[in-house]
Amino acid sequence: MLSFVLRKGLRAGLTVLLLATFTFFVLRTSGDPAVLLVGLEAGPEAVEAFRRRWGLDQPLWKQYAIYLQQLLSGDFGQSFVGNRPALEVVAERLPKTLWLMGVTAVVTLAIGIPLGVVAALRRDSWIDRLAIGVSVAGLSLPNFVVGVLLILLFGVALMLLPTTGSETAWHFILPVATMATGDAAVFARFARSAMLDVLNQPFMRTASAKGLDRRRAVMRHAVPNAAIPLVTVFGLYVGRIIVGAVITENVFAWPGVGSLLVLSVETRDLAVVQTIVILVGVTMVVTNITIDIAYRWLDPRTAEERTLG
Amino acid sequence: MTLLSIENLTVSFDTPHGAAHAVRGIDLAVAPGEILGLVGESGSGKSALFLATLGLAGPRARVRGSALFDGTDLVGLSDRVLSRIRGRRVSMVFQDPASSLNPVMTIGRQLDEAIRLNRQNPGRPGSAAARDLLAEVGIPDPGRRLRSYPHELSGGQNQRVMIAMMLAGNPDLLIADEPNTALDVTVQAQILDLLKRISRARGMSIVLISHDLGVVAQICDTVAVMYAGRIVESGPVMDVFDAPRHPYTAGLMASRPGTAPAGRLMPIGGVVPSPFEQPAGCAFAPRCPRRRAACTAMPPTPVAGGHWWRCFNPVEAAAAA
Repeated sequence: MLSFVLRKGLRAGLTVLLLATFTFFVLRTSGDPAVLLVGLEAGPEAVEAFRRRWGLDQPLWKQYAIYLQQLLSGDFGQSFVGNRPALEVVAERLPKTLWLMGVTAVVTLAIGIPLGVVAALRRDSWIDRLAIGVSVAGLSLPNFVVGVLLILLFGVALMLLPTTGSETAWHFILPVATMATGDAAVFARFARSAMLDVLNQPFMRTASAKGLDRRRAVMRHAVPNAAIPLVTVFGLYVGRIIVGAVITENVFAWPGVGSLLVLSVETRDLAVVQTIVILVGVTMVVTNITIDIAYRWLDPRTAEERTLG
Repeated sequence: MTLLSIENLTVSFDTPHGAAHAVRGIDLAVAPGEILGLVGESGSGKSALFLATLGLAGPRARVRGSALFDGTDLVGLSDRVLSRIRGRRVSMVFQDPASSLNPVMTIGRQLDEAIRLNRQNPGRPGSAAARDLLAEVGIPDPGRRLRSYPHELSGGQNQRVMIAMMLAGNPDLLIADEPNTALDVTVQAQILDLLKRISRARGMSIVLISHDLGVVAQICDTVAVMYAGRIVESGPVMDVFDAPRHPYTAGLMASRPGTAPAGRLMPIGGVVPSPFEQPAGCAFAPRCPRRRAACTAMPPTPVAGGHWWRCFNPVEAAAAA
């Protein structure tokens, strides 16, 4: 168990380091923030002063060394635009995004998984066909299309729901619906196939033979076994929901980290972009480790293999 | 006196190609404490018969006829009512013990579930009841085994756990569907001994479903031979095996390794009829060396008695013996 934690920790650290490095160089070599921020009309002296002020006049390798050193001491750099710590700028926006993602995840799972389970139990019925049909539609429509369609329908045509901002609970409805429809369909699909797999296993017949009626056999024996593959899907979903949040926040002008990311890339606010990328990277790494642990907890066979291997 | 009395039972499965007839009209009786062997090749309907009777054959199964268990007809009962009979009155163990146990639950939790479901005073979970059951089926160090998962046990041990679980409700009848087919030869014999010992100790009836005549000869009191969804011959195990009268039974006996002269196997030619067909006469007629004109025209009626067969031209008793 200790070597498991150690191995995972080392790999996680390396992943984040590579990510930070990659982001650093891509951002530095893809455009000059000084010209953009100070403006060409301000004259070369002002641009040069800006470069010196932020250390952009140093050779790239030296900038990188300084950046890493700062990063290791917990300093994510200064936002050019806000002229304050980048971490502060991001942290301010984080609650809005976490709320959006949290509500979306709950809605997605609460709709998708029961729908998939029911579809599997009523295989080839109308509810099964509906679930499959909706999930194909959900997979083929990108978030930004769904978002715009919802805005046109509920915001512009019907004028029922607000389409920008995040002030009230009403504001949640359209962004959450945008993100949840497709992913709920994906979960329904995976839950359905996982359930069908489990329902055909001999131990389900055993559960009935020992005296469980159908409903209790499904709840006690099928669902826990079907949950195992769904945990993997959830890991992938965390990545999807982050991307979804970036797009959806921009479509609905939701004042979260996602809209901040796009804004910061536009203004070449390097430290803020880097901070967000590292935040996303750490989230993914933590998710993967959590899923590994959940897997070992849900499926005792995996724990055994890992210990041996 | 009978515990289970099956009359004119048919089982068919709805398929996209029409109805597949697995069981085509069976009469069978099981007495209290009796061990009955049900023999036949794969696809003869021997498993479908009991799976369907207990409501375990899935939603596509159609069951007709009657199966009186202790006065109650099991055919047509709802899943909820049947679930109270399963485990308490009639239990069933299956062919592949490793996949017949839930892989993510400990042995102890699976046993506790069976105990809580099927006993009036189940006691607390993890109590001595589960340990006693494991000890009864000969699992060493049962207290430690309760915390194990199925993948940590051998096939033979898993089958013992299955049997223990199915004994939890103290049933009157245990259906053992090829209980030792997936196991090593030495373990097979142990499981058979265990079943016989439990049957005698508890006065519990067993229906042993098998394709192996040797297995049936070893522990059964009576035997019924199935072919293409019908019983073709039945009687006390020694009578049937010493003097098989139906040509199919005789063929099965002759095709056993070690029985034919000079160590050669005597296979039965031809194949089992398709479950989608409804032959007018005896289903075995196309493969039968003793076929007559009448055999393909109408099904033979059983010749009554303790040892009976369903054939127009049976093997002579003297010749077979």
